[in-house]
Amino acid sequence: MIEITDEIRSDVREIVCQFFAEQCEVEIGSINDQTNIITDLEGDSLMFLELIEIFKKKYNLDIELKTVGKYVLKHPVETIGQLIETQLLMIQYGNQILEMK
Amino acid sequence: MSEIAGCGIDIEELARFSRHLPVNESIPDLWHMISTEEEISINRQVSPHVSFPLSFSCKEAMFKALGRSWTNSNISWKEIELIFQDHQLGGDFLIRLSGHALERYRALNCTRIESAFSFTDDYVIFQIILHS
Repeated sequence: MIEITDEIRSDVREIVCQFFAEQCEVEIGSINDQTNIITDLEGDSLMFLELIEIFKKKYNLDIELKTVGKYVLKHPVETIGQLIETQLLMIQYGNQILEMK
Repeated sequence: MSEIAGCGIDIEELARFSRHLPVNESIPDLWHMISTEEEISINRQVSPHVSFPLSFSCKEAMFKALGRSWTNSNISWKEIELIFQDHQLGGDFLIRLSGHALERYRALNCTRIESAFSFTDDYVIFQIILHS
């Protein structure tokens, strides 16, 4: 389990916002926690998968996609804020994310 | 006479996959996350710049045809496989379902998958119709 520091939290936020700004061709300043990934940014599955890939590589995560799918099934991700929190939990708990209470 | 139980169409821009193409022996993580080893092995031998995006598009189209996505069901990406049986784009191909994807297919009383794909220099498109 990785402890989430302020630095990690800040890094994750920066990576997520930068990623969507580039992919969706929007100003990074226009993205905030309430930004809806589908309706505001027109995000899609490939972007979500790419982000998971980025964080798996950066933090050497041991997490399977089906685990992420099962987690998101119970905790839907619609906004940038929810996505950042989900990524942080993935980093913190890895494959144990489903056992987290 | 058969009825249509589901329909899914997906289009993908090839440029978006350019950084996910295999280089020499290295397979980008994206494909390990969503594809089986058999798919990866065959896609490498076909035309990787088209076959890998096509397999992604096929999975997306099938999710839509089944009325599900990987984030609102237990269906995983690897349970939907696109297999180029002749190891070439113009040859026969097979869409193979397993696990929760197959369960959903059966729950819809499907009996047959009708599918087609096409591609240009810039896009791939995949269409799936499920018959019951």
